[in-house]
Amino acid sequence: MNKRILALGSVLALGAALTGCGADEGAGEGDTSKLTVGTIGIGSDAAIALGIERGYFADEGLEIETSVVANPPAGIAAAQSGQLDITYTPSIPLLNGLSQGVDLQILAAADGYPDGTAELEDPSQVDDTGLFAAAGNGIETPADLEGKSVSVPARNAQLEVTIAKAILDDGGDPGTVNWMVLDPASALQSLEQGRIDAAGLVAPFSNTAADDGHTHLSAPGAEFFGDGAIGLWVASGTFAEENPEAAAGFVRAIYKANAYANENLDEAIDKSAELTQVDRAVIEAGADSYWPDEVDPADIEAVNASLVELGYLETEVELDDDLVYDAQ
Amino acid sequence: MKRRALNTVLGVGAPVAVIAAWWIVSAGSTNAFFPPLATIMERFQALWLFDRFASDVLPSLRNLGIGYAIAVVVGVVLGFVIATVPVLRAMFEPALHFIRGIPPVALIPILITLIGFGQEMRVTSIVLAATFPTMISTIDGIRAVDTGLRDVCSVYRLRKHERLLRVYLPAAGPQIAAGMQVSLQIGFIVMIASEMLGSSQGIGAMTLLAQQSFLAADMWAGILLLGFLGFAANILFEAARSRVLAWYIGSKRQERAA
Repeated sequence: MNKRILALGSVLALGAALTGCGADEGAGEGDTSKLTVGTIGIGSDAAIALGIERGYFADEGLEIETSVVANPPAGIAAAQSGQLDITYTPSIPLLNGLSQGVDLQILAAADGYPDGTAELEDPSQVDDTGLFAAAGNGIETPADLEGKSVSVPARNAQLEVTIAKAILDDGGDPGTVNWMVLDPASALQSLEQGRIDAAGLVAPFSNTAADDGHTHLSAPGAEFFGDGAIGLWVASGTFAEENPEAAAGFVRAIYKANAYANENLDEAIDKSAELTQVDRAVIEAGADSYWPDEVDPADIEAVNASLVELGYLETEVELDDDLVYDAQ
Repeated sequence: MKRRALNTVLGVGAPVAVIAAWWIVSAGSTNAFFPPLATIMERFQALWLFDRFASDVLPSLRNLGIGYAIAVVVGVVLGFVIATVPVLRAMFEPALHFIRGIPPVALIPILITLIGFGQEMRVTSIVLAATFPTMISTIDGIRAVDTGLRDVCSVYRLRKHERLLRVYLPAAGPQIAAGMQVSLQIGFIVMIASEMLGSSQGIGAMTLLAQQSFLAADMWAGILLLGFLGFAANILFEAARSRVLAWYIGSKRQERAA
């Protein structure tokens, strides 16, 4: 009889543990100076890596442990459950999360485009994302992609949203596009074989597509975002409140690291090459990386409005005044 | 008899208790990743009954059905051939165990390279993964055929096809069925995994999309649907098995009674 009670008890406890998982988030962090940070293994991780190497975080009494997460939503989920303190995410997954009631706060800018991007004649100079049509398939502009198949690395994420906007702005209907999820290597190959009409690619694969002679239709990131921060360092909504010193220290150190990376681009490129295992020449030939020194809430608002315009969100997410953490 | 009634009550009661506990504990949940069960059920109804049934559930099930059917036929035939032709067995058996050791999901990127990312890739990946359990249990089943039975075949001078179809196949039947059941489960797993790339169509693709868009209730609804489908597939399988192998189940029962 006891066994049965025990079994029932453990089932109930399991249920409680599953559903009440969020309750203990942040517990145990207290005043430890060790921060776990999720990155997604892209070239712009160079700034935080350089910051760690140069001791900017140590100066703030912080020990940073980075780990690569599969994708931004996974990082956000990990930050929410307390497995990560801080994680990298572009603004679009962040807004998707906020729209579903995930409690998140922006600590600092991770990467983005420099001032004046919107006025650039060739935005692909700064945009590490690109939209390419297969060479010779007759597609010349984004609007030609109506009803065609276009590959993206993930659905409802940055590439899809920015390409949809490029198609809309060009007079096409993005609702008719057949989106395909493909990893970049498969996307390049499928483009070559004509299995897809166009591919949304991130550097260094966008550089390869250009080298292979595929038609560059758009620099969707730069056209969508203009200048400002796109990649963000984000924590759960309670992190900064519970760890004000760690949060403020992180923000000071990361902006110092961002500034250093901008000023020492060669060193940053070396670091990107080392982190991503991509040939240095390929990175150098691609778009210039830029690490902003602030997050302008207006930029997030603009993305918010675009997501509604494109139908990815039903209504705009209500953004708190303290969405961007103020380290002062 | 009393024991059996009690078992039935427990079998139905325990899951109901777990669901009730889930319902009550999750009722006030504000955690974005663990929504109340009531919300999940609402989304379940909105998504699967029957808005996306034709567009997502049916394609997934069709892929599974076609892939599984091919896998079973190929698995039994190949298993039969390998088990009965000693030269082939010597040639292929070690390689089979090597290939079987590769997680089927790891083959999907290669399949995309070879045959693209359409429905045929999905079916092929199910076939590749689900063939092996059936094939290997067929080989084992045939090899385990009682030597007495073999002798009887010789004494009665049964012809080759009679031996195969009327003696060996039925004798190996219970083991083949066990392999087919494993194949079904693996087919299910690969059905979901194969939808992670390519067009966003299918139960697995929908569930993954929901996860990446933080639509937790939709994600849970997808997981529940997968659970129900797996459960239903297993019930169908058991029903078919007890029909086809009625003689075997009956003989086991008699053995136990004796």
